[in-house]
Amino acid sequence: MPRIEWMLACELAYFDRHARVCMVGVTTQLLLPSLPLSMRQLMIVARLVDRAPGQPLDVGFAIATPDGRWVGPSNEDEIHIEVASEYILITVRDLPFKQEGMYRFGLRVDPSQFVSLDIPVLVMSSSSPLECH
Amino acid sequence: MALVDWALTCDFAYFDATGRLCVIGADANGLRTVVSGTHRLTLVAHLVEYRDDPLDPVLALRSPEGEWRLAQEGTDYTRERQGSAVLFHLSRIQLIELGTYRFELALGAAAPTMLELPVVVREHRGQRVHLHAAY
Repeated sequence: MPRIEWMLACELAYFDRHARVCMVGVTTQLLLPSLPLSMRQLMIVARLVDRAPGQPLDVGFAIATPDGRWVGPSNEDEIHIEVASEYILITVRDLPFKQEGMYRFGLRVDPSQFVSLDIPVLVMSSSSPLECH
Repeated sequence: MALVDWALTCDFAYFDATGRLCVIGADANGLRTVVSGTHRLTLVAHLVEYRDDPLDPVLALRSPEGEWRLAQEGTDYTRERQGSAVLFHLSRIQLIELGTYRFELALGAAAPTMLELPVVVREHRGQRVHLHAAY
């Protein structure tokens, strides 16, 4: 039975020509300049283990806001899920952030296992303008 | 005491200007296959239950023959850490014997976290060169 060993969020992830995964900008929190904001792209990488070769996967993915609502991009084209041997790459485009707090990214590859990744979304405090002498 | 949550081997990993981890060429099946020779690789370890205490890592390499060799920080590897990620850069590591090498990483002395990351060394095959000439 396949299971998710780990999951992380990053700015960009891709497979190189040797089918090895590359991850750029792994993040544990999102610092945004202001809210509301639509994030152009966020990627979730999950590592799968115990998957038999060629075994089909029923992948479920959802995002929960700090107030517990499950949301996603408004258009189906804005979530792309790529499964390659032992990795799942999820691209989320134009993800709407409306409030600060903990966002939960949930992934399921098996009805009995739901793995989530909690990412705090914070607004960077605007600093007072520098005085020049 | 920090524990290793997961780890991988890759071609290279670094922290960008904002301290975020970047990983290039993570190995499929958690297994790196190389030809016999000298290699550069990076181990990425992800920590849980960490504080800012010193990690005191001990990195050891077991050859296919079962010989253990301790990697010395500064000479065999350099280390970087940002938050929950630790990078071990092995800039010149000799993987000569055919078979499976294993890295083991232990953090601290009280409750060491052992971690195995296998590297398979295969025989070097010479390049075949075909010469074509026009007459």
